[in-house]
Order: sequence, then C-alpha cells, then structure tokens
Amino acid sequence: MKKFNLFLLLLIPLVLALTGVIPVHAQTSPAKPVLFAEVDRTNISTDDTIILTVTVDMFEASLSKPQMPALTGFEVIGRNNATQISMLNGDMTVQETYQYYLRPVKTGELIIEPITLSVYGSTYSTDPIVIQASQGTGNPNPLPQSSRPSSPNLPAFPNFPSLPNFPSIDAGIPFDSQPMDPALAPAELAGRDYFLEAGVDNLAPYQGEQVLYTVRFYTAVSPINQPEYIEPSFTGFWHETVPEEKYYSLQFEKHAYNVIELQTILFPTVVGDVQIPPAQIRIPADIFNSGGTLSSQSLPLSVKILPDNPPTSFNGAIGNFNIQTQVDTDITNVDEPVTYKVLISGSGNIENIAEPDWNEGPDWRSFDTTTNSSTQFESGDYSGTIVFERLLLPTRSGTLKIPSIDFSFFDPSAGSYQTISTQPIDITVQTDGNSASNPSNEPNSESEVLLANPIVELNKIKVPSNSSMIGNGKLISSPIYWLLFTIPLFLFIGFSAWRHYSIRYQNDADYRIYKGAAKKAHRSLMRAGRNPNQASSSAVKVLVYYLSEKMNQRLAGLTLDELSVSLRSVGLKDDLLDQVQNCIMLGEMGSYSPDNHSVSSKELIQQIEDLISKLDREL
Amino acid sequence: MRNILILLITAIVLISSLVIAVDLSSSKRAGLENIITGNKLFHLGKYDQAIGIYEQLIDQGISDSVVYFNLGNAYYQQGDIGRAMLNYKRAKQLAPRDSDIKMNLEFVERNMISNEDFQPTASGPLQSIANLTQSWLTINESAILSLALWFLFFFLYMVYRILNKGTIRTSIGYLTFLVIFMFILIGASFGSRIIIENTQPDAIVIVSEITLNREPNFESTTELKLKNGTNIKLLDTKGEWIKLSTAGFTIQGWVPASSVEIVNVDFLRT
Repeated sequence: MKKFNLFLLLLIPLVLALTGVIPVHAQTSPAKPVLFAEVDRTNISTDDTIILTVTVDMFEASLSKPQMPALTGFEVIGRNNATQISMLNGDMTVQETYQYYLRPVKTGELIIEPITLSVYGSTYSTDPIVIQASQGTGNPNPLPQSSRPSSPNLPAFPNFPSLPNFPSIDAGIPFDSQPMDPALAPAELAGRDYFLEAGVDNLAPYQGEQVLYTVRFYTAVSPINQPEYIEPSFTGFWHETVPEEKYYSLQFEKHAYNVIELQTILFPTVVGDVQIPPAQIRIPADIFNSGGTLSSQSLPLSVKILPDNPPTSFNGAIGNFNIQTQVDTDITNVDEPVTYKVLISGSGNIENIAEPDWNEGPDWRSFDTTTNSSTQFESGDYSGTIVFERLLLPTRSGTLKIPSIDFSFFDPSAGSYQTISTQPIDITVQTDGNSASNPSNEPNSESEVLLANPIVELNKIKVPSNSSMIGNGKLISSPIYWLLFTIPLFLFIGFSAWRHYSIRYQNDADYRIYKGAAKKAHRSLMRAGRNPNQASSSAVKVLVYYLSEKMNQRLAGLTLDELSVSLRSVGLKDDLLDQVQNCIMLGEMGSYSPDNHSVSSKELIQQIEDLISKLDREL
Repeated sequence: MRNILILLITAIVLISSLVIAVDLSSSKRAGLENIITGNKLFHLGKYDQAIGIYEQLIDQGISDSVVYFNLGNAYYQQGDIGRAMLNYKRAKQLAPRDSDIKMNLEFVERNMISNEDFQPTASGPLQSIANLTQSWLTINESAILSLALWFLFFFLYMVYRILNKGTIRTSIGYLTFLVIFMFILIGASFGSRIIIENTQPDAIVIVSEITLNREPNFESTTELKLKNGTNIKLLDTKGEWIKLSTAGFTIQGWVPASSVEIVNVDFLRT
C-alpha cells in the first residue's frame, strides 16, 4: 500500500507535467502551412499592379511545385521567386516563394482561383482570393520593384541569413533605366511577351568603315531562368563588342516592356554583298513557359570598295583622324637616343592603323617601334589613340631634323582621301663631352666605361673587343669539325704506304729494278732516237732489255718464238704479245733494209714507248 | 729530302684544317654602336630600354660575352636576380677568363638569399673532369685545342717514324707521349662538357619562387621551394614540365618549364 501511494505520488506530477508541455509546445509551434497564397491588396484599378505571393514549405513539399490556375481577368506582367531559410526554437523552415505581378484587364470582381500542390498523394490548396477592380485612367503605373517576400510566421535569425533571390533577367535591370520612345519600337512587338530585333546604322558602308550593329531584346514577361544571348558570327568583319549594355523601359500598346540593348562595332573586311546572320536569344523552359529560341532578322549589307588612286602614304586607315609627334628632348649627344612618338587619334579603325612610313634619313639610326593603343566607345562612335614609339640615334653632331610624316586616311563622310602631315622637329646634337645632362656620368672614350661609382662592380659596362681569334659559333655541332679529326688517319695511311714502298725499294734490288724498268727504257729510247741509223735496232734492244728486267729473266738472244713462249708463260695478253712480236719484226726489218722500211725509226720508237707503257701496267 | 717534303705537306694540311676549324667557330660579334647605345641607356637609368637593346642583339644571333654581361648588370639593377645570374653565367661560358664577369657572378651569388635546401653538394666524376677546362677555356677553345693536340700528336709521330735512332728521336718520342697525354686530358674534359651540356644542362630559376612537385602535375606538390636565382641541373622534360635536381642530385623534382631557363646558349640555339 505504501508502495502504491508512492507510485501515485510520482505518477501524477509526471502526468501533469506532460499535459502541460504539450499545450505549451503547441502554442509556441503553430502548424506550418505547406502552401500559402496572399496578395498585397484587394482593391485596385486597371492602372495598378498587385503582387500575388505563393509560399511553399520546402521540407513538406519536397520537390513539388504548385499548380497555378488559369488567371482570368488578369495579365501577368512580371515574376520573381526566392528561397528563405529561418529558425525558431530549434525548428528550421525553408520556404520557396513565387511572386506574380498581375494587372487587371477588366473591371468588377475578379477571382484568383485556388492554387494547388500535390505531395505524395495529398493535395493542398489555397483559398480563392477576391479582387475588386475599378476602371483606371488608361495610363498603367510602372512595375513595382521586386521585393523580398514577406514571411508571416517566422522572423529570420541573424545567424541564418536568407538566401538571395535567384537571378532573373529583370533582377539585373536597374529600375532607373531610361524610358524609350515608343515610336522606336518595332510594330511586330505588339501582343508579344518577347521580341528580338537587330539593326545597323549603315547598310552600305565602305570597306573598313565603322558600322554599329545593335540588338534589342524586349521582354514583357520576365523569364524565371536567365536567357542566353547567341551572338551572330561576324564573318567578313573585324568586330569589337561594346562592353556596356543599355537598359530601357518602354510602354507600348498598354504593355510595359523592359528593353536590353547590346551593341557591336563592325569594320567590313570584304567588298560586295555581305550578310549578317540573325542574333538569337535562347529562353530556357520554366513552370510558365515551354522555352524556345528567338531570332532577329538577318541583315544584308552592301560593302563598297574604296575609291581608286589612294595617296602613297595611305595604309588602310578609315575614319577621321589627326596626327601629332613628340620627342622627349630636343638637345642630345651623338649616340644618345631620342624617344620619338607619333600619336594618331580619332574615330575609325584605330586598332588597325599600320606604322607610318618612317623616313628619318641618314642622320638617324632607329630601332624597333613599340605600339600602344587605347580605345573607347562613346555616343555611337568608336574612337581612340594609337601611339608609335621609336628610339632614334643621331649619327653626327649639329642641328638635325626629324622629318615630317605624312598620314593618309579615307574619310567615309567626305567620301575622299585626306592627307595630313606633321611638322619636322629640330634636334640639337652635341658632341661627346658637351653633355646637356649630368656630365659626371658621361663617358669620354669608347674603351671600357665606368659609371660615377666604380667601386660598385654591378654598374660596370663593357664594350666588345675583337681580341679572340676563336669565336663562339656553333663549332661542335658542325659535322665538318668532327671530320677534321679523320684527316690525320688518312695522312697516316698514306704515310705508312709510302714508308712501306720506300723501304722495299731500298732493300729489294729486284724490286727496285722491276719498278725502274719502264723509266730506264724510256730514257734509253730517247737516246736511241738521237742516232737514226741504229734507232730501230736500238729500240728493239731496249724493248727486249725492258722485258728481261720486268720478268727477271734473260731474254736477249732468244728467237721470236722462244720469246713469245716466255711472255705467254707470265700471262701476257695476246694482243700485247702480237704488238711485241710486231715491233721486234719491224725493228729487224728496219735495221736490215732501212730504205725500204714501211715504218720510220721515229714511229717505231713511239710504238715501242707506247707498248712499254701498256706492258708496265700489265706486268 | 723526300722526308722533309712529306713532313712539310703534312704540316700544311694540318694547319689548313686547324684554320678551317677556327673559321667554323666564328660568330656574329656585337657592333660597337649597338652596344654603346645600350650602354648609354644604362647610364641614363633606362634599364628597360637597355635590356631591350641587348635582348634584340641576342635575338639577332649575336653571341658576345659583353652583351650578356651588360644584360646581367641591367637585370640586376632592375632587381631580377635570377636573370642577372643567368646572363652572368652565359657571359662566363663565352669568356671564362674575364675577371669582371667572375667578380659580378660571385657578388650576386654571395648576396643572393640562399636556399638552404639546395646548397650545391659534391659533383660527380664527369663534372670533375669537365671542371678541368671549364674555368679557363670556352667550349670552342677546348674543341680547337683538342684538335690541335691530336694533329700535333700525329705530326710528332710521323717525325718519330722518319727519324733514325738517336737522341733527337728519343726526345721526339717523349714529346709525343706528353702530347698524347695532354690530348687525352683535354679531350676527356671537352667530351665531359659536351655530355653534361646535353644530358644535365645547368639552369637557373627565373621566377620569384616555385614549389617542387613529385610528378609532372600540380597535384603532387612537396614542401620544397626554389627561390629566384637557384642553380639547378635539368634532367628530363615532359610536355610543359621539366625534372630538375641539385648539383649533387640529392633532391629531384618537377617544375613548370617556364620557371627555369637553361644557361648554355648553344643548347638554346640548337
């Protein structure tokens, strides 16, 4: 019994506490609506715009989106959406908010039918909203600024900031945009939510003349997702996009439009008929639109060729320009450079202007030119300045002139070539040692130069000296260098062969005789020729003696047949053998009957000489 | 008589070959006017423009130690230590006996913020052999000297073979040995320099700082950083990356090729 009383004593407070917590919890955490819709006002005129805000609890709704009813009696002139995260008493809420800007198109009682949301088989719906619309003046009020959605239940905690609005095309448009004259709007715009048009300021430009290409995108209904602009290909043009976009607001046939204007500067590079293809805007699909692509019209241009007979100094500049020149000093020394600048400014194809024709003459040496340019786009005009900078070195002292420069351009507005010229500039060039600048730093010779503080080695500057015979060219990469290493080898081979021959010649008598036989024979034949009476017989003896030395055999006294056998045994060819036999017979005939000889002794000697030369090669 | 004739012909052939080799080594020298223009700009403190003049001369194919030396000075004045050292080293390659170049290079090396991770360690045997001639001969001078010693060796050998036994022949024999020994020494050093320049060329870090990577990509960074002006050896290339090491090959890694520049001007021109 005591235990039961104790149990009750503990249970009752517990029950009371639990029954107290639940209502408290219920009071501080009211039930969150999954779907909620409200308007900012319910009594309006046909000039006014109301904001319909639809709020969806993302945790409950998951990925479901509300189904909008058909809106009768209203037109939708703007949309916006946002996500808000907030926390209260440990409960986090994520809400998706959709805002619609509605304008009544008729008077009377207008009903916004229930908006529904289906989540996992359950359907939520809002209550119908009744709007009383009265007749307005016919001048619609401007679109209200897109506002952060109100959150009726939960304030936002500072450490849980709300997410920004998702980007949309009108979120980026400043609402202080310039009004646009409705007369400029295209007639095709009527009744459309979106429209894209393109145009140029000149359909018949000259080649190289500036053309302004303008694209305008009209939007009556802002798409939820950012549209994508697809620029046309400007084939046949050099082009430069104007970085700043322009925004306008337009009232056209009782509709309000936002207008975005994009511009591109074109310079035609070809002549004749050139077509600029359409520009395009791709609008992604969202819950209100199926999406699609808008195209502008294509633009046919007829590019004219420049007139004939341009001036000699014309280098392709088209526009309207002026030219001026500058130097950094008008007093200098020989071999001290002067910085010479040529500035060309104006409107036209400034970036494509080529270097002017430099004609400094023999008084100046020049170095490579550097080029800098700056351009801007203002009031429909592309203009800028291009600067050509050049270092000039005077080659002598005295008063030297930098000659004037002629610059020609084609002015499309005048339809003719213009030539403008700079003034020549006088420069006083002093000799070394009469420096106009700080004399303590100037060198006074062409030998090694030291600056004011020679102790600081890193200021030392050298001049080249030609003392070294061996240069720094690409020697080891030349194959000729490596081939030179082989010359001693060839010389060595030749030397060795010569040494071998020389030693053998000295030590081997037979070899010496063998090698000297022909020379000896030729000398003997010359001596024989001096004695015509015995020339023939002497010549034959020389031949036989030569053969004896070559074969190292005694051949004198042999008969012709025996001689032939001996010669055949050493492999002498038949034709040479025949010649030997012939010469011997002629020789013998000549010696026995010199007057009746068909061949003179002189001819015989020549024949034998030739024969010995042939035999020396063969044997 | 005949022997003298042969020796004379041989000497003429060899001397002509040497002249051809010297002629092959000739290079475009910087004109005095151009150098003085650059020097004048240096005087006036227009280091940018002076650098432009010197670089222009180099682009024209001029291979002159004076240009590189002056360019190094101009870069130093601009505070670009890496490029200053690079150009001093190039000048030293072209004029290794020039005391001004040597002094400036040592000055910059001493005053450079040292990279403790990359102190040069002992060099390999190939580098030691290359060092025999590197500090007093240019590569072309080594090449010509090697060729001249080779020719001299051959000529002396011919004389030795022609002469009869005697004191003169013995002396010529000893001289021939001496010459061949010098040829081997100079030739080996010359050969080592060629091998090193083609397989492990010297380079300098020219950016302010670069991180070493284990692989040729940015995902494999290490803690090691190379400072501007650090001497390194180039080991390998792979696309836009190069593999480098310290002088003793103790540390190796990959860096973008644009962060270093090779010292050897001949390597650049081939």
